[in-house]
Amino acid sequence: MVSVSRWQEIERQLKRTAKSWWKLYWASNYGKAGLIIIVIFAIMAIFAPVLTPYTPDFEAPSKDALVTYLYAFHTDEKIDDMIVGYTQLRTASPLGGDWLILNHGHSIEGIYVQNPKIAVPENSSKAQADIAPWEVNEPPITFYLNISTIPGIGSDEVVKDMVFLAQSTSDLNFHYNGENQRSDFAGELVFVTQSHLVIYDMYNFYDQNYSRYKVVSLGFEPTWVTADVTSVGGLTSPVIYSTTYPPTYPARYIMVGNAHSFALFFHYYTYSGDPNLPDIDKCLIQIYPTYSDDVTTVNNYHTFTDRIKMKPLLFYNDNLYTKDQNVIVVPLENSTVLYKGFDEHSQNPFPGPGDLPLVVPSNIASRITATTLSFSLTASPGFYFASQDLGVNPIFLPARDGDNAVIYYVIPRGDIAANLKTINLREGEIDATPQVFKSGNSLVIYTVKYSDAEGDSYLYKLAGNLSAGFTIQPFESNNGTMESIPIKGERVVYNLYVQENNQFFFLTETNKFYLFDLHSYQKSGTPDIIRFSYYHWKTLERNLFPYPSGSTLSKFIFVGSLQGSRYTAKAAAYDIFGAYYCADTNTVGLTLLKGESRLPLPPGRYISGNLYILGTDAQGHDIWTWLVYGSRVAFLVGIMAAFIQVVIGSLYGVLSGFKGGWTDTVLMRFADIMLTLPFLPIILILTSIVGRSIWNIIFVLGIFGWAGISRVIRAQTLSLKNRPFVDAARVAGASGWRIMISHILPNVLPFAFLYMTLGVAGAILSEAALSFLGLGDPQAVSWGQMLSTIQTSGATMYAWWWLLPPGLAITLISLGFYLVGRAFDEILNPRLRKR
Amino acid sequence: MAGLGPYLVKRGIQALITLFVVTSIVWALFEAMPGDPTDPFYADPKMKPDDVANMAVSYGLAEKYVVNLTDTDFQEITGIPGEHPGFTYYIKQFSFPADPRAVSISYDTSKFKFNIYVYSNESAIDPHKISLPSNATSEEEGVPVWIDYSKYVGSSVQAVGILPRKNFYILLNLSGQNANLPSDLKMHVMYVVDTPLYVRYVTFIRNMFTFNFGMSYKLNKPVVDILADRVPRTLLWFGLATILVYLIGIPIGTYIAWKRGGAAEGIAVGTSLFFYNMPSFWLGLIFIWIFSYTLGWTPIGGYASGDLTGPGSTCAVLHICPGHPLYMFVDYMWHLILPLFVIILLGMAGVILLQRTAMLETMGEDYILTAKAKGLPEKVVRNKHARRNAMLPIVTSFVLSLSYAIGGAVILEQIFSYQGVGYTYLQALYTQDFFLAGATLFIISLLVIVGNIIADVLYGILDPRVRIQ
Repeated sequence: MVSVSRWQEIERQLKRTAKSWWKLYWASNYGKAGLIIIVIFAIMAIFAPVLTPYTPDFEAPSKDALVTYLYAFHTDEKIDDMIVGYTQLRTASPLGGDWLILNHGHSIEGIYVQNPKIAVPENSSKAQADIAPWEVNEPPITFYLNISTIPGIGSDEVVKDMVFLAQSTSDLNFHYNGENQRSDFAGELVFVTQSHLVIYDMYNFYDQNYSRYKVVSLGFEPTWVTADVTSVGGLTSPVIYSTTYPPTYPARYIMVGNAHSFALFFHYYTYSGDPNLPDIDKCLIQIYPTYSDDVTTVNNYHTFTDRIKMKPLLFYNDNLYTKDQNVIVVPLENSTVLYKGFDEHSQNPFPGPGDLPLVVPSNIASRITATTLSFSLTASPGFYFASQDLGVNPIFLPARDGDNAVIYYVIPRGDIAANLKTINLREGEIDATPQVFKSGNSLVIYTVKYSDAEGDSYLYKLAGNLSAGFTIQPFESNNGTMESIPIKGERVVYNLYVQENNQFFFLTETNKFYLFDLHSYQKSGTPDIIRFSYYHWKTLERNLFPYPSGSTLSKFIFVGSLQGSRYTAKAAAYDIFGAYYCADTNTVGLTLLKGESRLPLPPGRYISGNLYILGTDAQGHDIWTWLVYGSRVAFLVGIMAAFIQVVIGSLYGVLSGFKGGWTDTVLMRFADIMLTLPFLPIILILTSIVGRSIWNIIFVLGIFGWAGISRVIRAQTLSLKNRPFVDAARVAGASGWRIMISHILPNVLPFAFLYMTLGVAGAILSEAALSFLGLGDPQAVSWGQMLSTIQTSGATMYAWWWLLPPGLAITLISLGFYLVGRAFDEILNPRLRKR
Repeated sequence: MAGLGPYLVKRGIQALITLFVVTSIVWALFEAMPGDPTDPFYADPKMKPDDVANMAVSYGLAEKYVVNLTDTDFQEITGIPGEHPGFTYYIKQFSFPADPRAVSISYDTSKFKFNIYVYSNESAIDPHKISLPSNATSEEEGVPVWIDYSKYVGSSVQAVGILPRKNFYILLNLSGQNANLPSDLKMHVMYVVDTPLYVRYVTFIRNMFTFNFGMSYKLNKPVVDILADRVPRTLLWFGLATILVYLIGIPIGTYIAWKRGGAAEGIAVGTSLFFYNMPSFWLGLIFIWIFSYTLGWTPIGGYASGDLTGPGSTCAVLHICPGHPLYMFVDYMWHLILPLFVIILLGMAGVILLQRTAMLETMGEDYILTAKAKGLPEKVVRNKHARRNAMLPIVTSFVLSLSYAIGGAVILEQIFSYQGVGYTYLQALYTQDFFLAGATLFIISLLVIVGNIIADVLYGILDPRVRIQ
C-alpha cells in the first residue's frame, strides 16, 4: 500500500490550489494592476540605495540651500580705513542700522545702512530677484565731514585712526527718552589726527543748531585710538561676547597712542541729543598717566622703550558681581603689560542725572597698577565677556613659548602673574584672536594655529573651565573624528566663528576669505574649506568674495549676530553679516555670512552639481530619496500591523464561532464595541502613551484593527463547523482545539489573507494620519512624516514638489494592496467575477 | 413575526453597555497618560491652589490635606552651600505618604518678612547638599538648588517649576545672625494626593454619564458649554456630507453595476478606487492649496466669519455682509463648500464601490433572473427588486462610515481649522487640557454609538429578519 504522508497530501493540495488561484487571480484586472503597483514599490524598497545617489540623512549643502547676498558700492575718494558704527546695539529693530564710516584722509564719510530686513511674502514661492537684503534709505542717510571745518584742526591734518562710541540703549532708559532721539544719529565719532584728538557727536550731522564736539591738542603724534570694548559695541574686534546685557554705566574709556606712548581718558557719554548731557568739556578726564579734569592739551603720556606691537585691548565690563576684572592689555614687542584699577568709580552706585558727570577720584593714576608679563603676544587677546550669570571674565593671551603656540589665560584679578595658566598647542603660532564662547557650564575656545614647519593653519577646539583647565576637543563627525581642521597652505590672521551658522570664516594673510561649515563636516566627515562666495544682490551673479572680482580685501568687520539656527531662522539670518572695503577698487560692501535659506528647493540641478529630481524639503533632504526609502517603512508598518490584526482577528473569530453559546455572544459583543471605538482619536492617545516609535505604532494599529476581521472569520467558522470533515474529525476524537487549529483555521486562511491585504492599506493610511498629526516616529523616514514636516514648516501652500509625492505614494501603495485584496475577494466570492 | 419594540429595547441595552465599556476604555487611556487634568491649573500662578484642590476633590481626583506650622516646627540649619553670613536659616522637612499632586505654602507675607525657598526630591537628601541660587558658580546640571518661592507664596510650587515629590523641604532665611523665627509664625502647607484608582474610575464614569465634564483649562470655560457649541458644527458638516454622499453615490453605484463592463464602470471604479485609498488630509491640503490659496474661491479655514468683516471674510469676498437676510446661510455654506467637497469625493468612492458590489451580489440571485424572465421592465427590476435588497449592506456601511467620519473629523477639522469636536479634541490633547479631551472623546464615542442605534433601527425596519435573532 502506497502510504501518502499527511504533509505530502497538504503540499499537493496547496500546489493545486495555488495553481488554480493564480489562474483566477491573473484573470482579474484588479489583481494585475494591484500586483504591478506593489511590485514597483517593492523594487523601490529593496533597491532604494541604487535608485538614489543620496541617503535620507543627506542635506543639501549650504551652497545650494543658502543665498549669501552681497551689496556693494564704489566711492569717489580713496579709502584709508573703515569702521562700523553700531547704532542699535544687538537689537533686531528694523529702525536700527549701522554706519559705514570711511576715512578718506582729510574727510570722513558715513553711509547709514538699515538693519537688513527682508519682505519675503509668507506664502510666495520666494522669487528672490527683486529683494535687496539691505535697505539704504531714499534719499540715503549720509554725512560728510571735512575735518578742517572743525575749529582748531588745520587743513594739513589727516585722520590717522578713528573709533565709534555707540550709544547705550539702557542709558537711554535712565536719562533720556525724548522726542528728539534718533537712533541713526546717536553715537560719537572719535578720531585722531597728527596732533589732535577729536570727539564729534553724530547729532551734529542731524541738527544744524547742535554743536557738541571736543578738540584736544596732543603733545605727541598719535597713530591709533581705541575705546573700551563695550562702547564700540565690541564688534570692531573679531571677538563676540555675551549678548545678554548691554552696558549699564555711562563710562567709556578712550586710549590714544603711538608706537611707544599712550594716554588714557575717561569719557562720559550716554545718548546724543540728551538735554541732560553736561558740557562736553566736563565729560573728558585724563586718568593715566596723570589725572586732569581740564583736558584741552595733553602733555603727559606714558612711554615704553619697547615698541607697542598692536592696538591694546581695553576690556571693560561693569555688569559683574565681582567688578575687579577690568583690564587693559598693552602688547609690547618683548613683553605684555596689564593695567588694572582704572575703573574704580564704576563700583559706586549708579549716578542720577544731577550727579553728572561721574566723579573720578583725582588720585586715580596712582591707583592704577601695572603687571608686566614676560611674553609677547602674537595676536590680540581673546576674552569672554560675561553677563552676570557666570561672573568671570577670563582673558586669553595668545603667545609663543619657544617654538610652541600657547594661550595664557587668567581671570584678571589678584596676582595675575601667579594665577596665569597655559594651553599648549605645540609647534606653531596663533595669529588670529581666539574666539571664546560659553557652552553649558564650560567655555569653548576656537583658535587657529599656523605651523611654520608645515606651512598650514589648523583650527582647534578647546573646551574646559578655568579651574580644571582646557583640553583639545576633537571635531566629531559621523565618519570619525579629527583633532584639528587643517587650512592647507594658508596663514589665518582672522578667525570668526558665527555660532548661529555653525560656520567658521577665516581671513588669510593673502586676503583670501574662507568658509568652513561645521554642520556639513559633522555630517560628512570631510573638512571642506571653501572660498566664500556670494550672489550679487541685483545681478544674482555668483562670485568669489570680495566684490568686485580681483580686488584685494583691505578690511573685514563682522557686524551683528542674532540668535537663530541653521536653515530655520530666516529673518534673523539677515542680521549676520560683515562689512568690508577694498582700497584698490574703492569699493565698500556688505555681505551676508549666513544667507537666506531657499529651502525647500524646487526640483532642479543646483550649484553643487546635485540634481534633486523632486526638490528638497525644508531641511534640505532630497524628496525623491525620502520617497524611495519611505516605501520601506510603508511596507513594514502596513504588513506588520495587518499581520497582527489578522492573527488576532482569526484566532478570535475561530474561537468565537467554534465555541458558540455565551463565549460567542460575549466575544462578539466585545468585537462590536471595538468596532464602535473611534479609531483615530483612540490610537492618537495610545501612541502618545506608548511613545512615538515605529514599532509602537505597528503594535497600536495591530491591537485596534482586528475586530472587523474577527466577525468575518467567525461567520466562516460557523459555516465550516457543520461541514462533514469537521464532524469526521470530531468523531475521530479530535479535541476542540485540534479541530480549530488544524481543520478550521487552514480553511479560513484565504479569508484571513484577503483581510490582511485590505488591512495593509488601512495601516499605511493610519500611520500617515498619525505622523501627520505629529504622533509618528520622528526618526522614521516615512511618507506620513514628510507630510507632517511640510505642515510644520509652513511650506504646504507652495512646495507642491514636496506635498504631492508622498500623498500620491500613500494612495498608490494602499490602492495596490486594496486591488490585490479585491482580486482575492473575487476568487473567494465567485459571484463577483465577470460572467 | 417579532415586533420592532423588543428588538429596539435589546439594542438600546446593548448600546448602553457599549457606552459603558467605551467610557471605561477612555478612562483607562487618560489615566495612563502622564499627568492629571488638574496639573495645568496648579501650574497657573493666577489660580489659587485651594480652589484647584477643591475642584480636584469635587471631581474625585484628589484628597486635600492642610498642615499648620509654627516657629517650633522649624530647625536652624547652617552650612548650606552659598549661604550668606548675614542670614540665619531655618528648615522644615516633609515626608509625604505619596508623591503629592501639588503643594502650596501660605502665610501672611506682609507680616513675616523672610525669603522662603523650596526643594523636592523623590528620595530623601541631606539638606546640606542643596545649594542656594546665589551661589553663582554652581551652574552644573543636576545639582540640587533651592528655588526661591518668596514671590509665589500662596501659589502651588509648580508655579516656580518644582514638581512636588515625596520628600519636600522648606527653607526660610532671616536677616541677621542668630535671628529667631517670630513666635507667632503661622504657616499653612496644603498638599494634595491622588485618590485611589477605583474612586477616580467611579467618579469619572458618573461624571461622564451625567455630563459633569469639568473646566477647560485653556479656554477657561465649562467643557459642557464648549462642546454644546462645537458638536452641532461637526454634525452639520459630517451629517450633510454623509447624506450627500449617499444620495449621489447610490444611484451611481447601481448604474455602474447594472451596466457592467462599460467604459463608465471602468472610469467610475478606477476613480473611486483611487479616492478610496487616498489620505483624507492630503486631499484636504491639496484642495486648500488649489481653491483657497491659489484661486481664492474658498476661505482658508474656519467654520464661519461671524461678525468679522476683515480681509478674507465672507463679507469682504462675497459682499454679503452681516445684516443681509441670507448672511448666516451664505457664511456657513461658503465655509463648508470645500470641506464638504473633500468628504463627498472620498466618501462617495466607498459608497459607489459598495453599492456596486451589493448590486452585483443581488443581481446574481435567482429572483432577479425570475423577474427578468417574466418580462418586467429593466428599470423596475433594477430599482425595485435589486436595489432595495442591495440596501442592506449600504445601511451597515452607513454605520461604519459614520464612526469613521467622526474619527476622521479629528484630522480633517484640523486641516480646515473647522472648530468642531475633532479640532477641539486635538487642541485639548496638544495643550494637555485633559478635562476637555476626555469629555470630547466621550462625546465622539457617544455620537458614534447613537449613530449605531439609528442604523440598527433602520436595519430593523428594512429587514424584518434581523429582529428575530
